[in-house]
Amino acid sequence: MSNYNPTSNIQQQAAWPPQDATIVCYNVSKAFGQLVAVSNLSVAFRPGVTGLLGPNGAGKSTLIRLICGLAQPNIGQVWVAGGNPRESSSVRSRVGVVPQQDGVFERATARQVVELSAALNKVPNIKQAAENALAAVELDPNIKRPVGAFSKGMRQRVKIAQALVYDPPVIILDEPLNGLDPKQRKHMIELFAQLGEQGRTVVVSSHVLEEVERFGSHIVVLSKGRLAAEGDYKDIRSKMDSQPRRIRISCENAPKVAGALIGTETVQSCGLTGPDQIEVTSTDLQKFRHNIASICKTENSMLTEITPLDDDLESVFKYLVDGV
Amino acid sequence: MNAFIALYNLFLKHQLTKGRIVLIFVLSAIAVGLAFLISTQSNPGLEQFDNGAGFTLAFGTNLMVPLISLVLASATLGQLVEDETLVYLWLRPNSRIILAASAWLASATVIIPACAIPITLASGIASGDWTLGIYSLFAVCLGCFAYSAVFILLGLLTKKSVIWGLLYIFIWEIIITTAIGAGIGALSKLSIVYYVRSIIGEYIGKESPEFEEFVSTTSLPTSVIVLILISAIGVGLTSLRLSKMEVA
Repeated sequence: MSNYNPTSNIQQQAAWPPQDATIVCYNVSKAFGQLVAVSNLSVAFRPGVTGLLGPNGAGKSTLIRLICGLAQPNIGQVWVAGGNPRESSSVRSRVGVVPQQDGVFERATARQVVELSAALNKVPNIKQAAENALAAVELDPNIKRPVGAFSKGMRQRVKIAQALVYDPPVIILDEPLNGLDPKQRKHMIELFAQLGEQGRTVVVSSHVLEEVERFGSHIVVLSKGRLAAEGDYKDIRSKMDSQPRRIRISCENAPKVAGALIGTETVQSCGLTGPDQIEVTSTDLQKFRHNIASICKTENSMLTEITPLDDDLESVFKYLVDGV
Repeated sequence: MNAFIALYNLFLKHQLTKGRIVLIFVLSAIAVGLAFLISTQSNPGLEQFDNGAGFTLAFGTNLMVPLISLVLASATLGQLVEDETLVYLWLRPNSRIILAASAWLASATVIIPACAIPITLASGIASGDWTLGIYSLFAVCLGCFAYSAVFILLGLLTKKSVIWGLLYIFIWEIIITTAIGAGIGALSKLSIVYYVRSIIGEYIGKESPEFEEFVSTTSLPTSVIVLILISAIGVGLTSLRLSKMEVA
């Protein structure tokens, strides 16, 4: 496997994988007992930031485990940074991983966790490297509290710092923004973009659609363990947005507002579901959100709430999944 | 910092929890307390020696060494599997043998003083013979190395390592190989405790007719070699398990 040449196995698809791909999964399947977590998946990741998107249970974490070598595929091959991540220690030294699980070494300090990672990766100046990595995630290296006493957001930042400290060319982050506040999220997204611009392959998984938009232009969408879509975020998002979506509106004078909504450009159907509630099916959610405020104003109605009824990824990707 | 030392320091830091410290202190206090009781209740001389030696074998080598080794060693890597932090060590470009050996040595670093100090003291106090204490010290150290290697592996193999370990200690080591196997030479040799007892038996077999059965059994060098081999095989199998396992 260490001599695996991804292009030799898939000569029939000349354009795939891309020549500069650093991660290639070819026809990979992984099952846990009866549960098939990843099924016949072929996907490649190139330098830059790629958002790995999918609802919970879509197979993102399993794919990440396969890429890192933490699990062995039942079928198919995984090739990362020149070799098999499960067998080659040199591959492992080139991959930085931020796992999804919350646990870090509870009794160690942030500095100790990051220094351990540096030491095990034979970083020359361990102390300096650890300080730099902690500074990159905005953590004070002199905090004496053990990681076990940290907030979820702080632990998350320690996990990111331990993956960055040895400067790996491939960085895999499984739901790295969980537990971070908006300011920290913004900073982390900027950091990922910066790492991508440096020529690293950065794979960031998320189940939050709006989050992935900010990671970068390239996304891979998984659903039910299979590749649902891959490509430019805007293209995929526009396909998603063209699907009708249901929204519940809570407002005063609901019958009047419902009447005004019927026939508007973005509303496909509209009905009253309560004295102050309307359920609308819209073909353009963003445009609808803009329009509803002015309609309520015109009808002298106070708009109290807009609730997307199928804005979760499962619903948004339904049309993609059906096409898999 | 060397990878082995970095891992050793990490494992050492996570060895002692409040519960484990309480267990060590309780067993140590019972050992030394019972030793005082035996020394005061026995007639000085051969009777005290026999009672003290019997106590060292029954409480020290049969119970305390395997129990403390089980509780500490099985958690060394087992705890990391449970709290899903093994991933941070497994993903590093270090050899699996370094991971296994550093975990084993860190366990033994804590287990040996936790067992050897109270057992040596109890043995010397109960028997009134400090040469027996020295033999006990030597036997306990080698026993701790061997048990640590076996129980570190057990911690990787099952989430219920303490339950399986207790079954192994009481059913296999104590009942089958020691009690039943005493009359069947080959069977008794299939346990760790046999070789630990043989090291102490090397001395007490010559000192007291009560223990002369030990004189004709396994020699001191053989016991030492077998215990070292068990330790090495345990660490080797742990390393192999780490290579083959899937990590959460």
